[in-house]
Amino acid sequence: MGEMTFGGGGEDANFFTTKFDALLGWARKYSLFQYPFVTACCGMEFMAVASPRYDMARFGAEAPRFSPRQADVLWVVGTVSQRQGPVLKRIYEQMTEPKWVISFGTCASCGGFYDNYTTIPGIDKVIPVDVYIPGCPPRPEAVLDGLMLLMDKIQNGNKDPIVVPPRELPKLAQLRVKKEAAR
Amino acid sequence: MPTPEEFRALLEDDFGVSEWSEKQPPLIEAVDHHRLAEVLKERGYTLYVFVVASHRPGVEGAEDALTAAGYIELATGLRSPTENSQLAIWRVRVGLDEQLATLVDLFAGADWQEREQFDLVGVRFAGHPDPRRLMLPEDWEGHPLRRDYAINTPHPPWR
Repeated sequence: MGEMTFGGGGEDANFFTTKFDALLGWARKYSLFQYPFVTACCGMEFMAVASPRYDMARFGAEAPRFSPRQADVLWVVGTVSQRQGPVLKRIYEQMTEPKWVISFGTCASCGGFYDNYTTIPGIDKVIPVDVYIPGCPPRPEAVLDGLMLLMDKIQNGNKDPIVVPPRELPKLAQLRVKKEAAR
Repeated sequence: MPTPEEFRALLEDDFGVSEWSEKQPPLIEAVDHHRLAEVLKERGYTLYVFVVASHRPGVEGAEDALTAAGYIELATGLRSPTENSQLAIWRVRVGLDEQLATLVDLFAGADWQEREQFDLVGVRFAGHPDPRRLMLPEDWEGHPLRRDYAINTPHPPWR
């Protein structure tokens, strides 16, 4: 963990010191109760992440709560239309503090390819977002990366929004890196 | 179940339509819209399948007043669940400022379908019990599936 320091004679000491915020963050990040706001096809991918093969339960993010009052993390999974905007805002406002928002997939993050009159171009027009997971739909590995990023944010008390980076650079970017290294 | 000959007689005698094909369903007067639905319902077409509206913008210099001003063309489809599931389709043309009689009093399933057409194309259904928008927010201005609707119209507060 790194946030807790064992007092006196090494690991077998029977007390440790920490900051209260760090302790609270440590407790919070391992018991994320989630509210899935699933509106579109990304929901199938969300089910894959939640199922045993990828197993979000490893991170303590196991129990979905279908009431916003009992949830810590709001997963916005899929396209959000103009009509759903007020609904989403209301659900966010019903959640109790502390609360975090994960924007799952390109549509929720920026509207995706729906450049039209009825789609909200990114849910950050409506509610604040903590973690953006790009992808159409994102791979379960990317979602787990996003979840771990959120856990880091909770631990550090970091409020800045963050985008999940790709696991490996795209081919063109790899070439550019190689060129610059050769120079 | 009426035979095709009976249908031909019905449309020609009662509704004044003489020409139609599979691709061009009979075009009837807007005032006869409700009456035709009523007649068909009596003859077994009890399932309301669809209503589709499309906006035709005005053509400058057209002889016909409706074509010059622009109109909305609606196609309505009824199905007969008992007789081989046959489909009856007809068209009507409504001016942009005119109203069309609703079919909700005959078919309860017409309720949301007509609301959708009002929402996106802007057909006014006279006598509709709940004439609100179906898909877009209540305070939306304009009807986005009209040809003269600018696709990049800004829509506060979200965009």
